[in-house]
Amino acid sequence: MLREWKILLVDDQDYTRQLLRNLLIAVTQHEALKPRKYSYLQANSAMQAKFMFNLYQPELVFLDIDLPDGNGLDVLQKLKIDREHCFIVMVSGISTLENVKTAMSKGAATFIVKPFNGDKILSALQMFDKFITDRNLSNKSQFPSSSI
Amino acid sequence: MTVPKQVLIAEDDPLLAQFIALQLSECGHLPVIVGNGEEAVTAALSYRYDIVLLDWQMPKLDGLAAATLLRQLGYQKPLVLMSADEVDTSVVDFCLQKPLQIPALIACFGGASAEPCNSAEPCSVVVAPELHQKFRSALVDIEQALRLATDIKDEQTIRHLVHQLKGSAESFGVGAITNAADQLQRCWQHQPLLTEQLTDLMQILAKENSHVA
Repeated sequence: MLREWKILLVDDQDYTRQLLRNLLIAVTQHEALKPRKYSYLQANSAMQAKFMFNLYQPELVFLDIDLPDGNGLDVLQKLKIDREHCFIVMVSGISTLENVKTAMSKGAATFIVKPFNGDKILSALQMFDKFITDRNLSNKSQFPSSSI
Repeated sequence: MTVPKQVLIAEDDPLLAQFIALQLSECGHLPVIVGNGEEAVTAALSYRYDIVLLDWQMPKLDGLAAATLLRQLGYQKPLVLMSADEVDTSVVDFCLQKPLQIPALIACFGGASAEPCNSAEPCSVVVAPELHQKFRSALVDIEQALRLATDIKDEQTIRHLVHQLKGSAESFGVGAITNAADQLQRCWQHQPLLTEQLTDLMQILAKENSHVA
């Protein structure tokens, strides 16, 4: 039985979260990706994002920079402190180099510039695949008898 | 027959950039020029380009640093580094020595057309009709809100709504709105916001929403 991976989508716009979910459901079927089972969580604010993150412990987060009650980069920093090994994709409609570098320095795994499309989502999921594979290999070498 | 490729040229020498662009256009490709490494990274992250040419020595961010950052971000499209010196790096797919030999450049495109097996075709996705409808309803609200914000010169709301449009419209098939909003955002990075600048965007919005009415 496939393990279920939880994805948290954080954006203040409902149709944007739905679009991202729509795209993820489609792209996760791509042949370039390992077959995994996913469930989707949503948050429309910084406060809700932190609450959902702590309650449901998602493995993958898509986090918008512009939130109504805070800066997504601050949320990123908080989430990484709470759980260092979570894979967080920073999302923004503006791709300044400063934003990109700040996000990476605060622990974002990658950065997506809106508007969303299949290629951008696929790249992020391929990185997530590699991230999980590398972690599995790392865990096996430390604890040879354990498995994830 | 050449398959036209969208090519991003990051070169701070404007004459050289124009020269490269002209050669590529004559071969049937579609070049766009940026003048520094920072613009190269932000443009590449739009995922509009099939191949990115990066001059090594550029202001703000050199070509190799730009390529390294893009690869860190998971960017897998072909990258070509152009340099007067020999460069030994695995970050990019091709290194071309200046002065540029155009046949060598064009040969990179032949190599680039053999896409990595995990991105052979653009990954296109159909958006569900009910989600389209949701967006269309939101678009009407956004147009009204933008008109009101423009009338009362509420700059913060205008910026927020334009930002919202830039980030979403293209995903729902209205690339013209995203392009217009993107141009406004770029303009407002360096110049003050003037409500007259919104005319084009408002016309596009009105036209799109008239189809809904």
